[in-house]
Amino acid sequence: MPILLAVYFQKRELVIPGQVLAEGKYRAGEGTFFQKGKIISSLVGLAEIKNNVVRVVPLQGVYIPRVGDIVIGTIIQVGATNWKVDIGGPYLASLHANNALRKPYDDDLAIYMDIGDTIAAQIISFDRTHGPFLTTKERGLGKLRNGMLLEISPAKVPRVIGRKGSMINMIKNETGVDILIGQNGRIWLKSNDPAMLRLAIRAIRKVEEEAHTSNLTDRIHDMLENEKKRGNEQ
Amino acid sequence: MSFTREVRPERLIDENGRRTDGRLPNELRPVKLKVGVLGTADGSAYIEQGKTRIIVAVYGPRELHPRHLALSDKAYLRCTYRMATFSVPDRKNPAPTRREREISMVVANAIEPVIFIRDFPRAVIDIYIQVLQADGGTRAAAITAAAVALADAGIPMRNLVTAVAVGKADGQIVLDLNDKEDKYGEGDIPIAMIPGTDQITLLQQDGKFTVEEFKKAMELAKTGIAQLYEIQKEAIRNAYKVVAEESTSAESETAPTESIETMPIQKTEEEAELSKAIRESVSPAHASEPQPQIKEESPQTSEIQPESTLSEQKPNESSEAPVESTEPAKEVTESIESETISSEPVVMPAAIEPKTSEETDKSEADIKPEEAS
Repeated sequence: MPILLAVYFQKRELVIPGQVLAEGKYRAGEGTFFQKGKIISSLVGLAEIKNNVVRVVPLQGVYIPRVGDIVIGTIIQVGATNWKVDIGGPYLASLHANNALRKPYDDDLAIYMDIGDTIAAQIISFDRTHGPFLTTKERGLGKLRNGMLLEISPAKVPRVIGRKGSMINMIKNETGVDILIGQNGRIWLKSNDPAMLRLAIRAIRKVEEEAHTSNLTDRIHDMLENEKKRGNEQ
Repeated sequence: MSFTREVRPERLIDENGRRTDGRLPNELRPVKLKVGVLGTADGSAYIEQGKTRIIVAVYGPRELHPRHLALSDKAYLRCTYRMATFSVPDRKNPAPTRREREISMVVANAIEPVIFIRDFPRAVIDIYIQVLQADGGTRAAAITAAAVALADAGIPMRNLVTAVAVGKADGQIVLDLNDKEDKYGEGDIPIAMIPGTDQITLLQQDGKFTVEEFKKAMELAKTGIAQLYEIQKEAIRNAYKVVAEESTSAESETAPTESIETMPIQKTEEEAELSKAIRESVSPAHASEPQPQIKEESPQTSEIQPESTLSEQKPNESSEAPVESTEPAKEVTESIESETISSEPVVMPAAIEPKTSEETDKSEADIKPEEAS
């Protein structure tokens, strides 16, 4: 009796929940689950296989916090010792003053960060019953000033960042705009040049729309080059 | 209040064995299912099953208000079934009725088993079901549409759920009751199942059935569910048609054999035979479908699933349950096609090293989350 091994999808095929993807020695990755020896898709998305891990890249979905993620949020409540931060998705995050300020700090936390302020923070803990809890004690985190906020679908964030940041670094280099991406789909942009800011936004929107296509980094690069040329001519 | 009082038809099944709307006892009504009809909802679907018309919106997982309803071990599945005031001939009072509350509950219970509800503790998944026009079988149609709306919302699910009503009219077991058969027939059994399995998630019954009749009704429901399941899958594929075509076509242009090359296991013919047999047994919906709506092409290679060709195919015209071809999707495809043509000179130089450039580009999607600045 031969060992049963089979892959039931083409590379980057659109799959739907309940579709059997593979069986045998493969492992079930993100967007899939294992049942009775078979790997089955749990999402609508594009299936792929890498190092024997089968996964489905989602096309939709809300932001579910993960420890270590950098997120961008808005303060919606100031408490005695903590801030409540909206980071999108189903869970309201909490930032304790000890994770944001050096002691001793004032009793009134609103003098540091107030309702409506936008912050960049890292998720330090999240489990079924608590959290997520944030910290801003890393370099580059904290209150964001003088920028603007762009919101994209959290499912597209990995694509906007690119492999080892290739996509976002390219957009930064081409436009000179300061960009910070939160895993929760919020992007903070800062630039003194409104034309470049607009161009960066267009590029990010284009990545979001065409996230599923190949050779996207090259195409975005060309788009930016062409637009910059046109801008100079005018 | 209505001027013409509806009367019971003399017969629900005529001498030719046809029902009031001309169907045979084992026939479904024409079904039209469309995914992604609402812009603001996370997921949505619209279903027309005969004259029954329902729109379903799904939101979430999202923050639950009021908080005290939150469950600490799983998401709260909140389902709201409502009938529009104009959905029935006599105006329906907009106040929620007992019947609406019951259906909200049974729909939630029918769908809950397939959702990975424990992935989202303390959150809520909202399903809003609005019946625009009621002509029997609304709870079954609502479940069928809600399942695809949930998939559209990107909520992780074990499988879809499909539902249909079976019943008894003039002593005969009939599939997919319409309003008249529902009202004047002898019985009604709405059934929801997880397709491809024998798992039932909803089973209700009105009227009296003998054991034999019930077994027959069950079998009939299974055939109906198999057909509806195909329609559900087709509707989802249609909604993401552009994505599906672009993501795979870009592939085949530059490296047509890649999908076969990268498959890590070389199979012998014997193994291929075996896996084919397994494939058929794991997806009985394809193998033993009573009335196939979609022509299946013979699988080209052992690895390629027959389903992979479905997205490009038009539904069979003679099919009794045509899935509406989504026209807007078509337009988008065209505009994108023209765009890819214009960018072709750009693509060509990259084609010298198709493998590497593509590898990097594709795998961009699965890089570790990292801070960008």
